[in-house]
Amino acid sequence: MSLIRSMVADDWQKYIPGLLLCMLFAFVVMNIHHVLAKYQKADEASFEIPRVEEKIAELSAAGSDPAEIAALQARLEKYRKDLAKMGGKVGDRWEWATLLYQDLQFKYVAMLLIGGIIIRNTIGVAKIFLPGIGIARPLIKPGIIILGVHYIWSDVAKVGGAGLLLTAVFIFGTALSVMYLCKKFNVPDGLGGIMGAGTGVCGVSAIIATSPVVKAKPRDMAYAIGTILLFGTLMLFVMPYLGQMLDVSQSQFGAWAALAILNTAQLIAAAEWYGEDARNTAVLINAARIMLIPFIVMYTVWFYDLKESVAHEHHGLWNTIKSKFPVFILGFFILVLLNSLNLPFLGGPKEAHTPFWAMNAVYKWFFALGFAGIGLSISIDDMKKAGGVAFLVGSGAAATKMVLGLIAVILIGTELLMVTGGH
Amino acid sequence: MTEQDIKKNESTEKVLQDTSKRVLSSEKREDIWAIIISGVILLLCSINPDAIYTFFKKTLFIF
Amino acid sequence: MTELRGYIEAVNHPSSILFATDGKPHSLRAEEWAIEMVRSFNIPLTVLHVKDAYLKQFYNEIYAQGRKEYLEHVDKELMEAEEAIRSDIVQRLSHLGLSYSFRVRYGDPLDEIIAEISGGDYDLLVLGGKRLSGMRAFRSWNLPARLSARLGTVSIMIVREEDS
Repeated sequence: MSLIRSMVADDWQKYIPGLLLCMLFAFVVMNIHHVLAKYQKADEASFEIPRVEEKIAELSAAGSDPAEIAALQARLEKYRKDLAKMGGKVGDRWEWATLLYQDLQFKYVAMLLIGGIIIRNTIGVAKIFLPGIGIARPLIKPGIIILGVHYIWSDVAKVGGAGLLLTAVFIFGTALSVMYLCKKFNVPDGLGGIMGAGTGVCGVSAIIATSPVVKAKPRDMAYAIGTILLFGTLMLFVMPYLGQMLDVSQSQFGAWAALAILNTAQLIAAAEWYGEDARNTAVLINAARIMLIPFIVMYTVWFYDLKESVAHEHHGLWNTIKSKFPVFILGFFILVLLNSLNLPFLGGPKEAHTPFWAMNAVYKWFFALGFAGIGLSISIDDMKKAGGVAFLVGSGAAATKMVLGLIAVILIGTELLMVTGGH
Repeated sequence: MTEQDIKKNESTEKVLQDTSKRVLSSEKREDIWAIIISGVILLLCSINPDAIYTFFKKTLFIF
Repeated sequence: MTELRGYIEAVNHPSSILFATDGKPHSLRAEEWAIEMVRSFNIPLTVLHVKDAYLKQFYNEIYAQGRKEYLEHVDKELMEAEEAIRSDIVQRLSHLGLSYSFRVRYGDPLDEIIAEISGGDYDLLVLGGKRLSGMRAFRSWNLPARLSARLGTVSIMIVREEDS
């Protein structure tokens, strides 16, 4: 009984209004996304149907491979269905839908984030909603766990391995350079430490994990958090468009974002925005990367040779790792394991009427709820607190990582970063 | 500074510290909840995959 | 200052002052003005320090580990800052033999200052403000401006920091 009680916050009621608000927001936006997608598909169908029909006639006349013709027939059938859904006929156009959905990439991720920011920073959010909005953000976690059904162990070994190596180099490279430069230029240890950890891994999460260890001052913490939030938000909106401009492949984008975007939620938002393959790669590399948090904390302790860390050492290495380890990621790996075993009673995300196929339909809703929470909690006032040395360090580190990360993923190529999903 | 002031300050201080104690390891709680929620979904999906699929892919989209 | 004193006395002077401080340079400058007025008019002074809860809201950042330690660290830092501010001003006021009370509130400075004013019997709020122009004005949260927008019934004196 006490175990159950300890799983529920005493004042759980205060979370309800904000949670309901996020649900409503996510529901409305997902429906808008759905309608936009339907119109965009109908627009595409209306444009493609005459072309496909022409091609089929051509191929039939030339006596081509029947398999090729059958494939085109199937495509034609799909287009006809898409068009029929909107009650349209060939020649009808919905160009606005294509513009919004395809050219401007105005999908549910963008709508929730941009909409959330606009609501939060113009009309504002009443105080009663704030606790619930805060609790909506971690709802991304079940979404991530469920996404485990998209991977098999060989993916984890290949993409996760490459990603882990890459992120480890980037994380420790960034942390080391930032801390070294901060020491060299006499930045206080507290600020240098949180900026090193913050620009290295997971942004604000890392600042929270390290600030008590390096005894950071509140003013420096506000600067550092503001800077990390500012650059995270900038990257989130800039990178998907930049990726499209530079014609980066989906899988490469996923890895690039995982190197350059610190905050997990922002990373998943950017990658999901870019496309499914990008998201699959990003989520896997991220799962590998967040397991590095305990090590970066220990590294920070070691770098600054903290006297107080004597107290920590009493707990031992294993306890430090255990206490800072994100437990939920185990859920993700359990699902990866189950999917790898290829159990007939669980099926797979692409095998209709199986449990994993149904689970695949659910994750987007968790993401939508989480993104609603994130959008509604991005406050421009918080970002205005960015300043001082933290701003210089943060902008330098962010720009360097973005450029080096891009070079790295281009060198590695799509193949190694592609998630197959197995069966 | 009055006695009353001191008392009042001390009581707010206590409330604050209690609040920070209550969120004790809330990250673990959050993580366990995430695992529980996904477990429940796996269970529901095993019982009736079609109903779950229809609900999340069709019913929730009202337009 | 003497001219000001003469002017205020001729009209009417405040009967109770609330001085809000965060211990930063602009607040120290405002402290001079507050003390000067209290001395001239022989009126009570209430010093208010708001422990800004701003940093605490980030504790449940999505993957944040060690939240308890983080909150304790923030609490400890806030407590140390409060102690420093309190000991400075208490020493100064006792030395001058002025009557005062020191109050501490916790939360958002804007809300807490307003709550303190609506709950007390103050007719002048004194606080420090940064010198703001151009980009700095845009970037600043600008507490004095927000306060004056929301406090319709109390006089406010904003003392700007010294020109650097």
